[in-house]
Amino acid sequence: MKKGGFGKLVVLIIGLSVFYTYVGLYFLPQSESLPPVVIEIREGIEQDELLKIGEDILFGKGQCMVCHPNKPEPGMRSPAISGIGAVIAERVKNMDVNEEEFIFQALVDTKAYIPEGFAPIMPPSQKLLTEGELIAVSAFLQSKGSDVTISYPESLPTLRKLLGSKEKKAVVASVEIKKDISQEELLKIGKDMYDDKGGCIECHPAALDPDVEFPILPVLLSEVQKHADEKGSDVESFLFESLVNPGAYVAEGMDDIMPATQDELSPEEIIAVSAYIQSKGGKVTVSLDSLPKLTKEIEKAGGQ
Amino acid sequence: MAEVSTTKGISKGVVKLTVLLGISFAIILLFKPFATEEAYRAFPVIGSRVWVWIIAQLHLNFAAFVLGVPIFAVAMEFIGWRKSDERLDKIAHDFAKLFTVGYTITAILGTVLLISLPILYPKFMEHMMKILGPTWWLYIVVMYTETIIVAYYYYSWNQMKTEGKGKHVFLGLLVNLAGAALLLITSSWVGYMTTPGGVSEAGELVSRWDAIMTYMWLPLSLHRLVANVVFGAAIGAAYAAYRFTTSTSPEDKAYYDWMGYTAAMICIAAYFILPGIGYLLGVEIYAFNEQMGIQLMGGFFAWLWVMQAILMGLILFFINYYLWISLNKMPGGERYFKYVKLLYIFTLLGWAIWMTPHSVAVSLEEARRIGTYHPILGNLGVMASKNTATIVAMLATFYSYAIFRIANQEPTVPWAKTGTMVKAAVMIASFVGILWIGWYSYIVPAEFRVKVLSTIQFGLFFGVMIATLVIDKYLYKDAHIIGEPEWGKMPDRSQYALIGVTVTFTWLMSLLGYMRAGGRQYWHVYGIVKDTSPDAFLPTHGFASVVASITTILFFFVVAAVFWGIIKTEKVPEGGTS
Ligand code: HEC
Ligand code: HEC
Repeated sequence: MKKGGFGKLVVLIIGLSVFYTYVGLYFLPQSESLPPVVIEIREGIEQDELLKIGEDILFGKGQCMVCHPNKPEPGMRSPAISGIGAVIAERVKNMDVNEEEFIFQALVDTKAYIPEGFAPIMPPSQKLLTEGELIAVSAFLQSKGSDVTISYPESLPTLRKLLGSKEKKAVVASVEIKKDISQEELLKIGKDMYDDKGGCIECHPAALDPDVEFPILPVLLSEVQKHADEKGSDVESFLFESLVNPGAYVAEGMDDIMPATQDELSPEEIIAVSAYIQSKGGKVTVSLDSLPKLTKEIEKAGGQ
Repeated sequence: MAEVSTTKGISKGVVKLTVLLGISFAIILLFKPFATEEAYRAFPVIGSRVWVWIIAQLHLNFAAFVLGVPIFAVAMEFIGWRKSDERLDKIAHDFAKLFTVGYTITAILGTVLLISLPILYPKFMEHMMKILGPTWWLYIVVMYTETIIVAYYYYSWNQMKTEGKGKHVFLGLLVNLAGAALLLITSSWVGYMTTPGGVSEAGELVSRWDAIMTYMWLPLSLHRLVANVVFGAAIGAAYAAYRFTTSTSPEDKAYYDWMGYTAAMICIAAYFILPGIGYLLGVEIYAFNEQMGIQLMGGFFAWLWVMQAILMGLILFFINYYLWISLNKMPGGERYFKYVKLLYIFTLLGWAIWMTPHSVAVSLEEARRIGTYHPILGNLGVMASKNTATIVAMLATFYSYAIFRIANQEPTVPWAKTGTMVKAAVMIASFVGILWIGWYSYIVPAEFRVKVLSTIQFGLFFGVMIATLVIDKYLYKDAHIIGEPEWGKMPDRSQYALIGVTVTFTWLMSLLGYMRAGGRQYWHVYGIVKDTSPDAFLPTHGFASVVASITTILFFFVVAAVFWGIIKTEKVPEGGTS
């Protein structure tokens, strides 16, 4: 056997590896990717500061620039950022949404509107960004060619409404509720619906929460009772109506932003959640026997 | 290897596997890894992550090797059998020897991994066992099956050579089926970690079958399967190249030259379809979670794709160089030197464009600085030109090969002149067409480009290759042979180019393996089990390169030991080969 081949082999293997390491060490940028940190946004934050944070998110944490070019260019995969505010302001003139809603929608329900020539590839941003961060980046986008109307925390309800209705699309399979279910079990399902699938807890927390101005869980029932009395209808029907047709009666000083429950929950599940609300401070009268009443309210609401 | 009876071979394999599993279970039982509140234990000095990273990558390298080599060992055995070509049968047998030894090393590395994981990552492994535990027991069963068939296949070679060759080839097929089963099982684990399914948000099992059938499962398995063929063939080529450079007798040189050539061509053929399957894998990752897709494709890892382009381009370079030199051994080959030089330039240009970075906004400052595009090369960095460049470079490589094949022949069919002209026209038209589509891509909406034009480009590429091979088949029917290829008439540097392919591909596997794992970011199971260890971040690209190099060098160190072992035992029965 010829000698020397082995030595050359070693040199070749180590040489190539060292060369590749050299490229990796000296030609590529050297940064680490740390788990994302939440950017804190105070209530009543100055607009300037909000825009600055928005810009940082756009270029950094949001990873938006991976797809969006800054200036328009041929063959671009995603709309350019410069002037995007003006483009959107122009577009919404012929639509029944306002600028604010449109921008939020573009971020959280990305497939709802696809401008011509683009593919629906943009990921929903709410998995990556907090509500405050979403507002900051939206305000910054608006500032690109339009007057900034988005602010924190004033824009929160609008954003939450969209986030709420976005969740709806990912409805989890309905829970099966049997005719002869015990009340205890019904209440348990009701709680699950309230906390989880129905998303009620987002707006009606179980305890006082300074960020939330809507009625909290413990007072829901008394509010319903009060308003039912005012309107002169029975509590059960009124409760159902407020769930399936929340716009029909909007308490004073409140915005009409609550999503209709039947979009997310099956009638049986609405029964469960109603029973759960009743159980917080009152006698539970709602049971599966109330289904016809509920169906009537749903029909009145023009729902499914 | 000295003749060992089949039964003895099989029992040796089974005993080895049992001993290794026994050791792991004994250590795990003694250590009681799960009896802890801690989610992690630290590996001394280098830390748990780097330790598991290196061991897992080495294990994967060998696994790729022992799953890839049998695929074409059997293919060659089959062809050798049908065509009664003794040379092919010898190659196949040589490869079988390689993977039989490779199995033992794979199993040893697997054992180290099996012991390390539950000890270092108890909480994570507990979760994995809860969700996919039963697949692990299945894995053990398949491992035993595989061990038995492999040993049977290898040790019965000479015995079944004259009688029952068909049965023997069938055994080889079984080896590959068992191998594919192993691949599917292990890919399901990785698939679950990256694109999990079948569990609730809290990590409770909802459907085990869904946890197996994740988005990534099949495309990952397919990608690994093809990459294994590339890798197995590359190792075969490197082995032949090394034997070539160290042997002195002309017969040995001729044999290893031919073996290296055959293995290298299989390697490159499989290599050509890899980007397509990689694309499929990417699509599935995007379908699972676009954010992850972006992070992988355009975010933090963007520069590593540039690195990948450098490496993939170098592989084409090495191969082109090898084919170019190979013309020397073809009588009449000198007629083609000038064309091959041109093709070399095409490859170079393609490579340069391929490397041009695009969309690498890793930081605010950088995004501003380069305005998301490369300041000088500008538009060359976008995807449209990348696809084009990749295809041009691959097509140039294909033509180097196509020219080499017929370099020593002169067509005798009456339509020879027309045929050659048609071929040249196809070649020119294909380059022009691919470049034109690349240019056109700039002025159409992105969606049209991705869905339609890229497909046409790739279609054209494969179409042209098939067309050329078909035309050649008829054009060179009963061709006048200027001279037989002078196998063995190659300078050593050509062989080092082949070894370069293998080293580069190994390094590339380490890099891409890291990227696949890194796509999970700070999760063990994406979105389900968070990584809360001190290592829950992605290191710098430089750090990753160092680890990739260490793994690659370690891998070749072990491979060299295997080859050395084989060469040493060979001397005894065969004598006179050295
Ligand atoms: C995967 C690539 C990708 C990423 C990442 C991405 N986008 Fe988009 N974006 C698109 C595409 C494509 C469109 C057009 C199609 C659509 O509306 O979904 C778009 C549309 C938009 C629009 C609406 C434009 C219009 O004219 O209607 C806004 C606003 C927007 N993106 C903002 C952002 C922000 C902010 C981020 C970062 C948090 C971001 N994008 C991240 C690809 C992306
Ligand atoms: C996007 C925020 C939001 C979500 C989600 C939401 N609500 Fe409401 N809800 C409101 C607001 C605001 C009001 C007061 C205005 C109104 O009556 O429509 C309200 C009113 C109510 C009322 C009537 C109280 C009254 O004053 O008479 C009930 C009952 C109620 N919600 C129950 C639910 C239940 C059950 C769910 C889950 C299925 C739910 N809400 C989800 C915002 C929300």
